[in-house]
Amino acid sequence: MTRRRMGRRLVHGLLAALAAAALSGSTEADAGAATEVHIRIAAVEPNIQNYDPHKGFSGLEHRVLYAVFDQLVRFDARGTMVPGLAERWEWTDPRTLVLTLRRGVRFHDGTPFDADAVVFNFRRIMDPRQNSIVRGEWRDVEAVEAVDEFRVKIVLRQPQPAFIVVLSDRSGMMVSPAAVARLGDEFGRRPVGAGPFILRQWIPGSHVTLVRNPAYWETGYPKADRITIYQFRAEEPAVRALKTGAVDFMQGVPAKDVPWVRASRDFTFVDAPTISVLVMSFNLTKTPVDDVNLRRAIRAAIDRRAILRVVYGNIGHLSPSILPRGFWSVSPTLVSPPYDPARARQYLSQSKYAGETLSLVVSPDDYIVRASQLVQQFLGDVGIKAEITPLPGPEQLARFFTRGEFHGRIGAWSGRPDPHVNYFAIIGCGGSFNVPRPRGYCDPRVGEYLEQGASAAERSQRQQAYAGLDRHIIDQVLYIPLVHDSWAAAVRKTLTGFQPYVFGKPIYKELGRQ
Amino acid sequence: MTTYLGRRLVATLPVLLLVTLTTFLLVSLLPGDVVSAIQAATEGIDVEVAESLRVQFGLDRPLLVRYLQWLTRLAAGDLGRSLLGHQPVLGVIVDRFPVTLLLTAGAVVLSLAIGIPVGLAAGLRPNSAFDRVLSALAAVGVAAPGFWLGILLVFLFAQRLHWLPSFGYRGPVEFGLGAMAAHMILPWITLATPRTVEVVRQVRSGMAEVMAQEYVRTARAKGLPERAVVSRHALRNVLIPVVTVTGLSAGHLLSGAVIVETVFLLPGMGTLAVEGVLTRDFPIVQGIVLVGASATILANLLADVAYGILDPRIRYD
Repeated sequence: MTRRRMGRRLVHGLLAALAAAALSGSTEADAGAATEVHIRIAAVEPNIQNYDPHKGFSGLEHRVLYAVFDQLVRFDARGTMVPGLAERWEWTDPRTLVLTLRRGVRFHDGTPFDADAVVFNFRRIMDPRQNSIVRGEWRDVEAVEAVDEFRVKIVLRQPQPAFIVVLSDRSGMMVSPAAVARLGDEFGRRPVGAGPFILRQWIPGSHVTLVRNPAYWETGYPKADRITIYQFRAEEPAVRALKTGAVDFMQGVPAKDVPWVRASRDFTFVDAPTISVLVMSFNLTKTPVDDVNLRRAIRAAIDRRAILRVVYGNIGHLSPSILPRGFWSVSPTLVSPPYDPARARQYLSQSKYAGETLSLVVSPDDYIVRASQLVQQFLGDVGIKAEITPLPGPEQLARFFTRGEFHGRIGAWSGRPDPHVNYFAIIGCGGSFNVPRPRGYCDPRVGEYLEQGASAAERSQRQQAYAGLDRHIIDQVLYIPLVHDSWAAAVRKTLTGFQPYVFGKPIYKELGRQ
Repeated sequence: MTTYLGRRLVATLPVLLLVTLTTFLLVSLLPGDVVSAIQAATEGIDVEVAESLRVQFGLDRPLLVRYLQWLTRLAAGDLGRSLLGHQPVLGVIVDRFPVTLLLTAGAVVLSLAIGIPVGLAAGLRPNSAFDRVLSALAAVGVAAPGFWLGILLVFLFAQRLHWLPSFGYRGPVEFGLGAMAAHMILPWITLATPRTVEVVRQVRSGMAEVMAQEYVRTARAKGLPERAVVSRHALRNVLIPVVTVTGLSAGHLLSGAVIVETVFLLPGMGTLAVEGVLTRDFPIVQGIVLVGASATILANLLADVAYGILDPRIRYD
């Protein structure tokens, strides 16, 4: 064969291969569609390294963690605590919590879920050598032990009625002890739980494939046989995936793409509030923002409606509380003083502000920077000078939260499903978001309300405590909630079971197809 | 040749040492460490847990001690473990490297397969209509940023025509060569375009120059057919700068891969590098830099070796 003919054959061969490849690419989406319910999700979930619930670190991991592990207790759509892997829980005395476990449950590897497994999980979290990310939640726990095969006792050092809440999150996600022993450090890559889905494949930086757990205890779930979650680094490529029609669901569609979703024949747009919020907080120990009148001036100067309109394209929600309107703990009569520049100037004249430039650290996300620039402009309008410095998370942590640099921060708070956890983190004495660390600004009134809310047995009593706390926070302007995120979800019209839970994470086992 | 290669390989050691030390210092200079990245992502963890994590990760030790520890382990062939994922760095890189290799090697092959014949055609007829159109296109191709071209391709072939998938990677072993190629076509084109333009320009200008040389006139004078003159005498000389450009482009390709992998959701080393830096996972960053620098040095070395094959006058002693 001459060189020329060889070259030609090579070219022909290549072309044929490409054509075949293109065909197989376009038909791939239909493969196996006959019986299997396969749901594809575009998620913006960068940097996930670990699906060990006790060792991971990002809130973005939860969507998969809920599916693979299940929790001992859960929150329902209205924020009420309901049974999960624990069928019942009971305080036998103010320091002793007894969990009664569901019977007949098995982990994905076939090993039984029982009191020994739960005790193993709790001790794993409490073991200092394990360095569990949630060990802090167990600081007040004196002992855990199995009462019998299906009952576990948790003894606290002091009464803490809100403790049950921690069992709805990472601390309540049960890993298979046998798999932990077998896999060691690899467990985070090949997690084994007792949840509705088995993690079949995870290629970090690409996708997660979940398949139905045929032995799942809750009848009728999961609704889908297979869920593929494409984990994009940013919103842009995720939106493009949505537009090619190759995915069924995306949460957090950017405002500029919302008109496309609304006009689409295939997708429904869901705009419901979540607990994730853009908030302006202060270093309350630093002058001049330690002056309440300056903070009142700042709040009166900011037109939150304008931020919602200009930055969020009206895809977001305003609330006077750190939790969204409609959330069970937020009093329906609660109001925040309105935007009023004249009032702001009045407060300013009563304050000790003397023309200093306030330094605000902000998260470098595009929308947060734009919102911060608007805030800067509003403050300038009433005569408050402010400069904004965008810094990524680790740097903010080092400089604002730990060293106490900057007067304030504009950034996201992802929210927690229980009110106590939110308030404590942000303004509780020693809370993780209270600056400067380790204790932050300690307001005794805040401590009293928190105590009252946490120790109340009835929900109405808790509501009362948090209503009082919210009024105190508004009066003292301890922080300013700016805009609550919307679900901003694009949901394929043939998809069933999607509920926009206020905690802002989809529950994959509920997703099905018509 | 062997001694030459030996000398070159030994010479890479100080380069790698310097590169890894610089990266180590740069990552350490970034404010915040992996624990503050964890704290930022979790919106705060227990202070006590944070401190014991720092001890566990060895972050309580002085910078130079940490680098020397990393180096000592490296000497024993141990790249360490990811601080966040807990897996061995080598394993993580072995998982991700094939994707980047497939992406960059495919782009190189594509750029040569298209660039050489097109450049040849243009160079043989300089200033023809074809040559002028090509020059204009080349200017656009070189100026177009990778991510923009990628987005444009996705819009056309995935969103409008539905011909090709725009995201997701399919390993050839698991899904077959067809599915793999379908998922790689758009990334390959995106990464290959600026390289192709470079090759076209090199071949075109080289060809125009060489065809005016005396040995070409001699070849023609002794009655060789034009095809033989071009392929056997002219092209060989033209290919040397092309090889140089290709060898030197290894660094560009790797940095281009970071963007292309992000746009097309490919689980390669580029996205791993971004993750590593953002989360301050320094063993991962160090591992990638080591592999990336070695690959770049190796590519340059291969280019040097290729000279000797293309041009018999070049000898390495």
